[in-house]
Amino acid sequence: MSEQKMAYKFLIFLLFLAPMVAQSDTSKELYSFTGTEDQERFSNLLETYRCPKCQSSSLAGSNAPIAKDLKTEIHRLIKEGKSDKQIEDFLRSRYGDFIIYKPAFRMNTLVLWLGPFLLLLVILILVVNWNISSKRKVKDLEAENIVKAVERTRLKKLLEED
Amino acid sequence: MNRVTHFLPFIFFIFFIIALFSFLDKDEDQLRSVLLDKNFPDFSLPKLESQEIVTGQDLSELPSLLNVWATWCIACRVEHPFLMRLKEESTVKIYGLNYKDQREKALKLLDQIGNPYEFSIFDQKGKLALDLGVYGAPETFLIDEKGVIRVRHVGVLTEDVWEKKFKVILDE
Repeated sequence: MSEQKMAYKFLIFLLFLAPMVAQSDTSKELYSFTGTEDQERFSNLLETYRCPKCQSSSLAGSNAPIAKDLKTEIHRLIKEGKSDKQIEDFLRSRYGDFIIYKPAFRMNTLVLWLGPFLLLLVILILVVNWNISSKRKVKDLEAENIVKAVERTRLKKLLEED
Repeated sequence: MNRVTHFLPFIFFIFFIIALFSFLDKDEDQLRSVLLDKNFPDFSLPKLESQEIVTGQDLSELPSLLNVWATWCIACRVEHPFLMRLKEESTVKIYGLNYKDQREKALKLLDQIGNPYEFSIFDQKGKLALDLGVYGAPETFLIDEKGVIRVRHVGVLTEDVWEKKFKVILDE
């Protein structure tokens, strides 16, 4: 009985894994290449460039007509023997930096890349500062207490002497 | 000094909010065209009205507008009355770029609702559109007398857009 249950559980687990294999690569069927190397380049390039219409997805993940056009265009350029750099120039001269899904490290994208780290640095400095100053306060308080205690005993002595 | 550091996070927060709000104003849909201030790309495509091949030299009456349109494009129908008005009231000529369309359908539509274009370029495969960085329709380009692209507008061309984006350049 328990073995059967285990088997069921395993089957259900397999069922949940099904979507992982369901991700078929339709672009491979539509765009044929002679060599596997070009095929791989094509797949990589589709991940590199953004769909101008949908904006938050790469060409690979988009079925918008414009994305299809660009796929066809990249396919053509690869078949013509163009290098990755030439393809990038082709796309950038038409659609601008925007077409590159992962923004390039350039002057105008500096904030994008370094901003989060700068922010983290500022926050770290602030936190450290606060810690130091609050510790100093505690120490000051301790010193004050000691002084007070000393004075109290002195007062006591004075009173007792009287 | 201590007081200032205490308020720092708050000040950062305010700046952050201001920055975010200023980004809100920017029209995200308007990708800045890299073709601005560049020559209109070369092309050689048939006319919509006939099989005759047209090239950049046929866009002869500059400055002019190039309007990307198609029968499947709903928003193009919205701006159509304004284009008709421009044709009557403005000296600027309008050329059409019929984008990924069927010739019969396109001609029929122009027959029905009127043709604001001097002629339309029939770009069935979206070749010229790709060179122009078009990613939807309607789009409107302003080409100046030197054949340089000066304005690009993505979306419906309204009177407001015309005044603010196109007229200012034309009046220069």
